[in-house]
Amino acid sequence: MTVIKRRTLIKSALGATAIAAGTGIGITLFTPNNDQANSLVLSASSNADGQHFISGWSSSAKQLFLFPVPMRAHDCCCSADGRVAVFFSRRPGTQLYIVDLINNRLLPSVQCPAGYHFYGHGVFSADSRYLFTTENHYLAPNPKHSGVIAVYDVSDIGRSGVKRLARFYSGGIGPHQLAFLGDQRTLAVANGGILTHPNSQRQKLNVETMAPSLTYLDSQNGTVIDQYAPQHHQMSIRHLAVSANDQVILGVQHQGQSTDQVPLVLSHQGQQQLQAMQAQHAIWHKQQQYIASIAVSDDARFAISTSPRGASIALWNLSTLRCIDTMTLRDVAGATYLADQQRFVVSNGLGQLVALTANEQTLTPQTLSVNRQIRWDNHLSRLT
Amino acid sequence: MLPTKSYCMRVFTPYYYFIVIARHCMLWMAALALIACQSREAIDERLLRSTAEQVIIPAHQQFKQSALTLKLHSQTFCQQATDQHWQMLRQQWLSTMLDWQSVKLIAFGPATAGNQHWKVQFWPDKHNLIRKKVHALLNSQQALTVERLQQASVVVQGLSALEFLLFDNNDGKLRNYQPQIAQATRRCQLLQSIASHTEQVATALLQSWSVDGENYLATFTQPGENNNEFPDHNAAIATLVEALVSSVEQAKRDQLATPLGISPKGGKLIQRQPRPFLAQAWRSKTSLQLLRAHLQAARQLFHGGAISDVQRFGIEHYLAKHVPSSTLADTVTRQFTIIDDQLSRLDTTLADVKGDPQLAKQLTDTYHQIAILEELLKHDLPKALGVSLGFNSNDGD
Repeated sequence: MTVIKRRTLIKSALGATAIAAGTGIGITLFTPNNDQANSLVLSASSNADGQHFISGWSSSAKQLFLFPVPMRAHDCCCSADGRVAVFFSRRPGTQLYIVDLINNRLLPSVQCPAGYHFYGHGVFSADSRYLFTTENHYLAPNPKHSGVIAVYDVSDIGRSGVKRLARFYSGGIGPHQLAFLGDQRTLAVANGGILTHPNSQRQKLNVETMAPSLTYLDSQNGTVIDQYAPQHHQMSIRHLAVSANDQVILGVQHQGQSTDQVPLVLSHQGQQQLQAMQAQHAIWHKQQQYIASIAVSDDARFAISTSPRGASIALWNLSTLRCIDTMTLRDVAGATYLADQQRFVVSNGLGQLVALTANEQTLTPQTLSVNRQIRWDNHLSRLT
Repeated sequence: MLPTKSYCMRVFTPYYYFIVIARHCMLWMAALALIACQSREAIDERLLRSTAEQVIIPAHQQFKQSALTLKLHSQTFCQQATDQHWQMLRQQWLSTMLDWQSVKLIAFGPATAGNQHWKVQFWPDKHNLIRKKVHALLNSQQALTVERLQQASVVVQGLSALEFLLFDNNDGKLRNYQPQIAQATRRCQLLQSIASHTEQVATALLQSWSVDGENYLATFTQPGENNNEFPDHNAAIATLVEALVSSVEQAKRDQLATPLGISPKGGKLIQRQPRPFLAQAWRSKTSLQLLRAHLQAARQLFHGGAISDVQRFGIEHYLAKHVPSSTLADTVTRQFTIIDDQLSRLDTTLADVKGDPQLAKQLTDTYHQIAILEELLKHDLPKALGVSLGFNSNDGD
């Protein structure tokens, strides 16, 4: 099913080129000889003039769509049936940008209710009927309850649009990335712990008292199943990825001192506490207290973390929880795993897309494309 | 295209001449564009190579030489713990720290592999880890060899730990090294091992840049499609500008604002309690001297070498080639001079700021001048050069 959809998409690449031309930044993403199996990869981007875009492209073709959007977008997720991609505006943005992947068109954007803004992440239910988003209910009477997971009905998105059905407490302040476990019912939520208010833009209001956590929620009723705090209360857990055997890998953005010695990548798979991934302190230090993205391989053997401040990518063994290798790439942030190529792909703010093949010893890079006109934003996503 | 028939008949219509001239024009324009492109690339290459060969590698060589002398002085002192040897050792520690300021700026490439910079200097030390970890090592039963030190925390491996052993109010006294003192031998072993370790790190850093070593010089000066770190010249030049910006940011924030207890908020400066213990080298009372050296090193990076060197070709010259009408290079140079003049007039230590409002005012003024320099380098310079600094690096999401 998905394969057919992908082919449909690639066939319509010519149509998308016209869109690109209209925006003034036609993009050739891959060299012609790089004709590997097809994957749909998506990312938000900006150009040097500060215009913002959302785009999707295939690893064997050029870009499939490129739409200008009014606000900078952050992450994106695709419905499992391959029909729709949703891009989330970056906090404190209030819009969802929705792409009809079958007909390659941008659908009307969706505004979240007054008093809320998106945190930039979301996830579809396995049946593609519901979309779960992380939001800041900044007008909540008690700021401690401002972290919200909202549920949208997206079952008939092409015709009747999106309906907001419900919302529930995320289990903390500042919910950021979230993902389903294998049961397709339990949500793993990275509650970053940082309180912000749109009136003060992105200013952090509670750094001294913040309480980040990994929270497991029942997506059907919002029940908090369990919560786990990191070892330091300023280790803001922002991003996560879930492996095929429900190992949750977490990326931290530490809000303490630059010389604090804290792990920045954590693992959880049923233990009593979050498990720190093991790396020499030099490796943590290089990452400058900041992880932008986490991606795990489909065989659940490896994860990578990206650190734009440290220009560093780390490869992790998910069995031993140890760092296997690191490599340097300036401003690297976006990361995902291409199942059909069995390798990771990362992006940066300098227009580079680099494929990374992992094994037990090393990470081997291969540059896929360089386009100085593009600044790839914080995340890469794929159609699964 | 010309109709074939008219061409064969050699009917030279005005249209024909127009096309011929147009073709020639196009060829010339393409050739000129190629030349312009090549000359742009040549200028890019000249900047990268000149900066690496005239600034970066000499700074590493100088630091390596200083660290070697420091090691030798530590050996001499430990053979004969006289006051003269003590003073020479302390003076050489300062020389090494001053030379380190020029290497510290180059916070990319080999420096980032394995946390090399922290091995040389651990700072800021908010929790006084240096004291705790040096004492733990001294009080342990383990031999204090260089090999042992390599396994220890970066906190005890470099110049910051040496400063503790040479300048601390209690631990940094000559009397601790007199033969009758119980730990004197172990202290001297540690002193020599840290100095040797620092020299090893300095040698390794230089080796990483060297043509006959790991040759990072080639990585930095030869961008291209197969160069993952620098896929084009623009990326390498942006890295250079980032290094310059980061060094000035660090001077403003970590070397001045934090110890002075000042922080910007809503366009104003909030004054909190000064924290002189967070200064770069508070034990040796040399933080201001080192700040001046740090900014002089940043200035050299901008100029592409010492002012007296007529062959130099730095960011300053690159800017002039790129935007001939720009006055930015002069403005930046003037701002460096203002700051250096201010710092040259201070014959005091940062720790005195607590009881000296006049000094606090002078240093706050220097802070503002550095902030102006930071703005020029962070916003005006990348714009003029057409380079973009980190997009996601500055994101915070």
